[in-house]
Amino acid sequence: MELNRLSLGTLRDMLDKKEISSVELTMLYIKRIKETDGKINSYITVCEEEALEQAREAQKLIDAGCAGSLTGIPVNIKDNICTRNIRTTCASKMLEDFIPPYDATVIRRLKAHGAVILGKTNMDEFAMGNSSQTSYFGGVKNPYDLNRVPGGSSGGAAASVAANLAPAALASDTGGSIRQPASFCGVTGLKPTYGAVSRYGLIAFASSLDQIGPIAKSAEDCGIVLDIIAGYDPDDPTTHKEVCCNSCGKIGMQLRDIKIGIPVEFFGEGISDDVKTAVSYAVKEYEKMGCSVQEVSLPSFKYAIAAYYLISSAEASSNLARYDGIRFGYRSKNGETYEDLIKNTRAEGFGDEVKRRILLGTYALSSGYYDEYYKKAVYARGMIREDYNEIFKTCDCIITPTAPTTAYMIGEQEINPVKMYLADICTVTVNIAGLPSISTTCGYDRNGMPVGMSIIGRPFDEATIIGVADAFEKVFGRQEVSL
Amino acid sequence: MVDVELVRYLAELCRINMSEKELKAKADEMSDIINLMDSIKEIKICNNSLIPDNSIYYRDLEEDMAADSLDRDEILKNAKGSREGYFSVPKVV
Repeated sequence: MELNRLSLGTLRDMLDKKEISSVELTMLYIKRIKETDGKINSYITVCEEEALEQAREAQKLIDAGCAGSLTGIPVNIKDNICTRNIRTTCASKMLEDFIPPYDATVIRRLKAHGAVILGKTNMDEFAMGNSSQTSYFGGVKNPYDLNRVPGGSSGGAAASVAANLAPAALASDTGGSIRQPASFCGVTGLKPTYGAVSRYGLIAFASSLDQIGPIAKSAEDCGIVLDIIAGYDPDDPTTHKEVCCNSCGKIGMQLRDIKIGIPVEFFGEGISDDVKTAVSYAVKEYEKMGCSVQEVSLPSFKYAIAAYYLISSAEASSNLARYDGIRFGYRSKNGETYEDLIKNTRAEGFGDEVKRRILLGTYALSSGYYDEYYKKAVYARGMIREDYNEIFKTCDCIITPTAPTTAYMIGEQEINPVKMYLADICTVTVNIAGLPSISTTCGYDRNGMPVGMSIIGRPFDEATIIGVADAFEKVFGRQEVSL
Repeated sequence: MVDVELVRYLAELCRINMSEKELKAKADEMSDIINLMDSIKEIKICNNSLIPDNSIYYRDLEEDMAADSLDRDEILKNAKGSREGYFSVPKVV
């Protein structure tokens, strides 16, 4: 078995037994990135020198017998998470040469643990999109089929893990941006409960929806990463003191006691037959394992897309107001007055989709439209939360498709904003309700493209959804990509 | 229906310059997008408890305390224009 196809647990074992050193492991991944990433464009920045220095320091911890679960193990980071002295671009011209003067909290935690940071991964600009084709640095390709999208906005993270260019990745999820690319690329991605992981240092898109989470080859590996990055942070007032800390604690649990809810609204029109077949197969496997399955309903589902796009765009219009070229980032060379400078900077620095969302958010918040749009979107948010609360009175977790389709051809869909927005229908309710959700591969379509299913849990019950996902992964034959 | 004048107004509010061609294109796109958003208008707000005052959890607020911030030179490194420890910009007045 090739070294770079191994789980985090196996890599830990090999490092501790001195079968390989952290430097050797890091060099192996860097070599593979240099040889292969040209095909998929999953990295924006590769930090070879910094990674090798971190590997040398990590090896000292390993040699001293002080290694933790990720010590000496390489990971990569979505390029909207601040890394001190390493370019952080959000895949935008606006931040093309921005070098953060500080580390995000999740980065501080990884470094304290001795993890090795390989580089920064490609994404949709400012995390707005679900195809990873809006990047200023060129689109990302799906390793399973280079003519198809990897999903987004964390397409680089998901594609790099699928292509064995890193064993695990950190990414962010605002409306599905971890789960959907994990689904399209045949890997596992976890969006934690809102408030489980600090957003300090995550370049903000929609502050009430954004969460950082892991992408890896398995639910167990996601749990290993989550335990390092999760937890209360004084720098983020939305983090909870009640946070998951033993994310792998229910791996191997008895599934007879698990009640699974299947919301009818997620299996209606618009969901492809291949996706329905694969997810239904997975549900039957869970029944064989002893889970009880019941049909449930999310009546407010029909408002989900509107609520999500109105809330997220409104917040984005506020969060992206800081990009004016004055203190950091791109600055236009045109502009004789202060006002003109700012307007030209934003016109030249932002891509189309970002401008579209800022306009939508400005519309939703502006006088004359606020009551009919934004206020009702916030109310719909409450309705969706109530619907989930009702379901969780009788279910321990919920299973849905992660996306209505599998990965589509590059250029087929992403030029139509409405079509793109509707494709988020399976993921956005989870962000609106602040719940944890994990996507894992449950099948392949007629073209061999991965199908993902999402397992949604109660707040701060990441352990249950990881345990449930792991149970399926152990019996499912995941197909590795050969690139 | 979103027209060019509305997009022009929104672009002014959010400080993004747009050409006439771009305004027209965005008006067409925004019309389709707002049609998609219009489903939200059918909601009747009848239970005010669902409009959250604090849907986002905030831990107990802390006392303001003076503490070190980022180094000024570090912050200025990312600025395209700086002079004598300040950000420099075109004339405002």
